[in-house]
Amino acid sequence: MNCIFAVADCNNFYVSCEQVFQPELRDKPTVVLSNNDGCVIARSPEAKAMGIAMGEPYFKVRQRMGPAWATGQNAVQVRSANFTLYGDMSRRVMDIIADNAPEIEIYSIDECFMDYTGAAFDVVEHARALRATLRQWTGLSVSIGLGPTKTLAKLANRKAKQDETGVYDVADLAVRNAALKDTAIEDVWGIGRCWSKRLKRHGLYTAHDLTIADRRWARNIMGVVGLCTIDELNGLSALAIEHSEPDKKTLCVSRSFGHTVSDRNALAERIHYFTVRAAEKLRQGDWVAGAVSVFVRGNAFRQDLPQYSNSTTIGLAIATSDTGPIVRAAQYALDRIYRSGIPYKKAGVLLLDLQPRASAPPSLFGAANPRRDHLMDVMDNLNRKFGSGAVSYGQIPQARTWYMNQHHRSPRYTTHWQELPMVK
Amino acid sequence: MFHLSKSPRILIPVASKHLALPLYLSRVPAGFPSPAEDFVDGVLDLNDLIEHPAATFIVRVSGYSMTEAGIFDGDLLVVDRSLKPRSGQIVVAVTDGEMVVKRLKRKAGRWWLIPEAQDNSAFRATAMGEGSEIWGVVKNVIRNLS
Repeated sequence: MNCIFAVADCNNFYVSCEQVFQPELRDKPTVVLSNNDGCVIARSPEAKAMGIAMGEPYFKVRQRMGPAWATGQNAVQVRSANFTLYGDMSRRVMDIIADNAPEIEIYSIDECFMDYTGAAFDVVEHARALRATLRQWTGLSVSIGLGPTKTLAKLANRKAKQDETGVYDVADLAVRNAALKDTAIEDVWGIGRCWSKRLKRHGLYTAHDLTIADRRWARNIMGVVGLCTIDELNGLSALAIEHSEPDKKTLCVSRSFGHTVSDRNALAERIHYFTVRAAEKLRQGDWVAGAVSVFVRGNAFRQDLPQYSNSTTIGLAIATSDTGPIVRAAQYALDRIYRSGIPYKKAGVLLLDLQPRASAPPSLFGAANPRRDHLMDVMDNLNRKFGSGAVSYGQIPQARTWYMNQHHRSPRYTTHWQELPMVK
Repeated sequence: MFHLSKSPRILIPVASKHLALPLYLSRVPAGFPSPAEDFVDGVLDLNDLIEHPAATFIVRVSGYSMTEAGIFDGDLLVVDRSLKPRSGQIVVAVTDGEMVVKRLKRKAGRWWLIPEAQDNSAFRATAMGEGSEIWGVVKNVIRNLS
């Protein structure tokens, strides 16, 4: 059977979330800063047009732009990351998609895959309708790319962002080939900056060049993972829903449960396990995370059972890869969303706002603790040697240290009674 | 901002197999169980009134432009963005970069946002034009009476 995958991706997600509740920001150059107001992590189209770069340190952009930064019609609007708000808006988007699409995989805070394989309806029409629903229900714009593999759906999504209908399908061979020729090799999902540099040295510049590359040669350069990407670009589905690598911005560990789980402690155990795994993965990549999101979901295929799904996001005071504070934040998040009497079918942990450890801004609240780093190293080494889970993080110590420095944070409009939007 | 209310918790490794035991709702040291036990059926949850949770937002009213419609300063409005706005409904709209609550009316081929204040001279009806849009339809008003 021909596979049909789709990727839904929110446009300028963080900035768009701010605009839903602050209409005065619409059409204005707007940036969102990372935790502790370090770097630019999201830009409105107007801010992009002004040449503000992704990841640029806040103080540098301000310096570079001079007085133009804060004056006139083009004064740049600044917001601190409000992950509580973004997490809640993400939950709404994912809930709406999950109610409409057959199977979904949440890939990052603003992105998910859908599997439409075997659908007995016009999938492009369905995607358009879904996009309209998302726009009306949440106020957020979503682009949807469709294709016979996940990699092609991602590629189609890039085209969808430039298409005014916001939906792009590369099922048709002629359309697909044009899109492949039109996509730079570094923009192919799964081809990192490192590989794309090497491939360019060998004269491969577009996704299309990759599809006609010699397989033996490609395998030498990129290994089996690279071959898998080539197969996917050629329309042979190699990646199923749920088994993909996390993208750079987010890291997700989640599972569907064989048997549903209702008990709070049993659910907490699983969340704990996912969090420990996620923190391990985080350290493997030498990343630190700025926020932790936890989601739980009932069994949507059993409408006879009580239904509930929710998620919440907790910002970390200091971007970290230390299992301790991440586990505490995750358990706190679970406390906020757990409801008794629900047969939970799926749960997971997302680590957000990832950045390389080397570039993480130092914190005012406490210098990096070399002893903790050492402890994490020892834990990871033991687990590598004796198998995953040989040593784990058991106790959840009490601490209240995940405060953040956020001078421009907007209210948490959707999750705090004291911070609701005001209407006149 | 965030507090950990719970005392330190020890988590049990997943390795153990659990034996599921039924949990009784009333404590019965001796004697008969409560005859109502078989009939306990959860509680009324106000969330049940929210039809489309993913599209529902709560906003707070500031000012007195809708008092004749029973909407007062400080009230909470439950706004359902999934509902299609129709003439005659009370809506939250964006106009001039501001969020407002008004009565939506279709008149002479145009959509209007109409205030319903006791003293309407202080407020003006505005026709919806470029840059204004319906944000969502108001479904309920929540007010503390005591």
